[in-house]
Amino acid sequence: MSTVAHARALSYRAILGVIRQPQVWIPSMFFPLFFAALNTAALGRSTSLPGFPAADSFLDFMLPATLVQGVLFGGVSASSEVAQDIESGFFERLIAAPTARVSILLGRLAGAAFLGSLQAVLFLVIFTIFGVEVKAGVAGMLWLVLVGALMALSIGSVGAAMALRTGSVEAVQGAFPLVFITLFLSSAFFPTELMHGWFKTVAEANPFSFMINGLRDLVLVGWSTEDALVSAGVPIGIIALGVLLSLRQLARRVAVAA
Amino acid sequence: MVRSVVAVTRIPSAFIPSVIFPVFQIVAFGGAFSAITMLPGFPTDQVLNWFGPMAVLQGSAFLGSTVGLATTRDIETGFYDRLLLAPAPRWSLLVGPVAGAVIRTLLPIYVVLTAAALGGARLVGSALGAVTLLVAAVGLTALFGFWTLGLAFRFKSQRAAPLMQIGVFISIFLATAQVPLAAMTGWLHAVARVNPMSNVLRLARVGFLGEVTWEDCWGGLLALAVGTVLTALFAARQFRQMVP
Repeated sequence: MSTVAHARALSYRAILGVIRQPQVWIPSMFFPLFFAALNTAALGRSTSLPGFPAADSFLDFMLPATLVQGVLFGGVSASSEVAQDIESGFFERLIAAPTARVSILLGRLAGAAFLGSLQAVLFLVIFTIFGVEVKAGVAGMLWLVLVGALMALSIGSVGAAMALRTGSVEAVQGAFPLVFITLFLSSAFFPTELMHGWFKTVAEANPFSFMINGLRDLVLVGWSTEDALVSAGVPIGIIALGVLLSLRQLARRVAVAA
Repeated sequence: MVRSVVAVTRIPSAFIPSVIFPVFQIVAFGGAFSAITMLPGFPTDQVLNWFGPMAVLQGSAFLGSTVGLATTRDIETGFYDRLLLAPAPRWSLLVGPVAGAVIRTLLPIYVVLTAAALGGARLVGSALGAVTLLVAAVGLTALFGFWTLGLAFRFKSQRAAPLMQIGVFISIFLATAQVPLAAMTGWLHAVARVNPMSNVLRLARVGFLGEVTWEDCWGGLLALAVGTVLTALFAARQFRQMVP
């Protein structure tokens, strides 16, 4: 079997592993949708504040943030499965088997990307049912799904690096608050134009803000190649770093196991 | 009760979230949503006068939920069986942990309130406003203490932890946690209007938004009194079912 075939088999296992555990993926769907519904009802009137981006409703404004939030949380849960494999001893059995080493990582990441894009599609369907219209049309919606997959890959690669380094589910799950805090310190839930002081400075410099603002313009304004590229650039940068770290940690763990 | 208080130093991981999360809320909500004070009808121009008391209540409620978490841990490790064999009155197993949590909650109240004050939160009315906030926070700790204790007796497993915490989270956020009723729209307005937690939030905030009046306090006091009695009865009932 080739490396691709190994990766495909492990990716299939990763996807099935998540789907068979509703407690892993239901919270990553429920909570972002709950926040979207809550914030829309609570902060809906803020769209009339001077400086708020022109939006049909607060729900339109929330779509990119909800999508990114869901995919990130789902990614953290999915990447803790790598640590679960290490804790349960399955990882050592993979190493002992004639499996291409890199396929262990590729399989997990491909599974994460698939699940991220699936989540993005579900969010788009739900928001569309509630009247949200992506101004960039079908191209914009496809781009949102693509960025969802890239985000899942990015958090999946960083999470895999952590899992391979620590071998602990708890340590990977511990990243959850960090992800949440980073997301909150961005333009995800409110426009930076209406923030003040140091919080505004931090939010404007936060890479998540660049990504979310790019996606938000696709939803609220229309297609813009520049916005699309900026929104994809951030996760691609994280993926490059995450994959590099993961490969190093994989090599270290394989060496230890050998 | 003493064992429950000592848990602050023995198991800090069970205590720290009730401080960290509300302080984060102050930073995040105060920073991200500072402009919502410009909404028509918003009762203050200092955003932390609105979010500060809410964060204090959130911390107190989370601390109340640690009563249930600690009890499930004791049940799983078998320590609770030893407590049941001890020559202590059964009611002390209900009241003791909750009383301990009420004492422990003073620390997060102090820390979170200090963080809010550093961010600009100030009492607008008399010092009585600090008392109403304290009463609301302590009352909420007791209410959620009994509620999660009942859940602990029912499920007897730490797997019930999300159920305990989500109850706290949802009951507060489906009230006037983020904005006043006048600024809400749709379904949330309908829910928050009948949610007793809105009255508790009003009791906590009253001194930060103006003078303390009986009209702003009685609803919260009633909600806390009735809620605490009902959750205490629930805990007692679950306890009797667990220990016939």
